[in-house]
Amino acid sequence: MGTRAPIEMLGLDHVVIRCVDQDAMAQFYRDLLGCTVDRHNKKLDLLQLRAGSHLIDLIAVDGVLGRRGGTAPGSEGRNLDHFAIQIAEFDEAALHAWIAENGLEIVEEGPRYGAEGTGPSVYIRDPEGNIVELKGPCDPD
Amino acid sequence: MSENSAPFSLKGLDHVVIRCRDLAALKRFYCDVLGGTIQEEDTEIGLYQVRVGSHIVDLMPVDEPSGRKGGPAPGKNGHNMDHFALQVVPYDDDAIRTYLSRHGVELGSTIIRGGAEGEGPGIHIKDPEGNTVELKGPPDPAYN
Repeated sequence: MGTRAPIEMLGLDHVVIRCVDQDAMAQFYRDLLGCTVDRHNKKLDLLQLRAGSHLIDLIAVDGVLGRRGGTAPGSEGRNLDHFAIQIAEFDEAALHAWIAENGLEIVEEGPRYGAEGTGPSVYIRDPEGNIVELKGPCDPD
Repeated sequence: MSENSAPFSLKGLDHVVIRCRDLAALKRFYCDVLGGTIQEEDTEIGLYQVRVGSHIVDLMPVDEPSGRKGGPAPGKNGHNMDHFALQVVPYDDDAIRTYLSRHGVELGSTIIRGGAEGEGPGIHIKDPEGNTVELKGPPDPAYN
């Protein structure tokens, strides 16, 4: 298609989720999933959480950045179906116990294809209904 | 803060899945314009995987089986994902703008904001269905 892009894509850097209750969302991603706070820009209501090599940013829909995107997301008609985080260990029994202990629900689970091949995945929902796929190491083949 | 009890450690992002109306238009954008490549196409469930470097952007048409589960197509506003960012090299703002303009891509401002690897420049652009994609350059020593 004519000229080539003057860039090469290396991969994902961050994903930014618009949220109604930023505190509840932060609790989920930080206290439950184990993200750490990278930066908190209070002026912009932007909370940047580190998930390994990348960031999950939370912006409040009623904050400076969030307001630019209009209303809060509904339960349907979302632009992001789900996103996936690679996890280093996939101990199915421990995961199930942790999910039950924390009152979470398994949306679906099973081997899924991801960026590094096929491996086990479990899908859960954050407090605002976003589906998060926890993706274990890929099966060697 | 409660102690994190998760029986795993986080490595990083793997993929994002975008619900879309016009698969062909999004494939053109992510592949022909940005340089992604089709990795797998599952026409049975309706999932089209575009490789973007080490990771994947999945396209999920709203009128195919997987996409239908999420209800109607997303509107212009009220998105659950504000944007996502892709690391790109090299970062030459002028060259990127010239190239994308030629392809009719809607360009936003260039901002210096913290990414996963530090502060660096990034340009916000829109895909054909209004999703904001940030093309993020390497961290700039001037800001770190």
